Amino acid sequence: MTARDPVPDEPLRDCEPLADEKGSPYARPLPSIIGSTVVMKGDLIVGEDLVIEGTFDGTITGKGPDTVTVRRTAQLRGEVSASNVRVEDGTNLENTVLSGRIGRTDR
Amino acid sequence: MFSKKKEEESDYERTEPGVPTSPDVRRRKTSVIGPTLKFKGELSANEDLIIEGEIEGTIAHQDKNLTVGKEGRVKANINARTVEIYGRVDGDIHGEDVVKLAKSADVKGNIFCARIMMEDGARFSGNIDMGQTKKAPGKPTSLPIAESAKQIESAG
Repeated sequence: MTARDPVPDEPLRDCEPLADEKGSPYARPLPSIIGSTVVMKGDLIVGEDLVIEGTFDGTITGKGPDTVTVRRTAQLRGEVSASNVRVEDGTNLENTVLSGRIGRTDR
Repeated sequence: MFSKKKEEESDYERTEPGVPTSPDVRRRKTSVIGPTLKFKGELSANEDLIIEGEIEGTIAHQDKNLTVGKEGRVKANINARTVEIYGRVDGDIHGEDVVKLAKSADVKGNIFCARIMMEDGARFSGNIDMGQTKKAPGKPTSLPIAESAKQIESAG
């Protein structure tokens, strides 16, 4: 895995610092985090990194080269479409359709 | 070492320009709806929530704090313990404890709360109902009135 790999194996929720390789704090927005107690039902479009720990029923569409990360605690039902989809080991994806570059993570 | 610390501090300042965010906010359990995120549907949560993107539908937030950031756009009724608005809200706001409108806030809807704080410059169109304030413990409110009636009778 190179430093430019679009699916890096990095800490998910410990998101500080977020500066890019050049050290600019403006280069990369904060990831959206759908926490473990959050329940969402509907359609979602995102143009930044997204971490899902909670429950989502519907469609998730990623716009751009960012990564949608599905944590083990997530309960998904529907469709996730993004350039990069990273799924934590042990995640239940029984009722979920994933499309994009699918990766696996153990953290 | 020092440069890393500086990066962290500057990042928090950038992330929430209008919101009094500190590193503690990022470390504690908080969900973030980022600035590019658009969601249409039903949302419920039992943890603090920061909305910097667009939400349309319903928000059922239980007993926690909800912040609509400066870039946040919400078309929904909001229920939460503490509600802080720095962006735009179209819908009713129910704040169990307090509702705060920052100077950058633009709210169209009714506000139901026990306490309200509105900064100079905040835009608000709607009604404020503070009838949800908790009754102070102690003697019932009817007692002083009854005593007053007795005094009137004895005087008459």
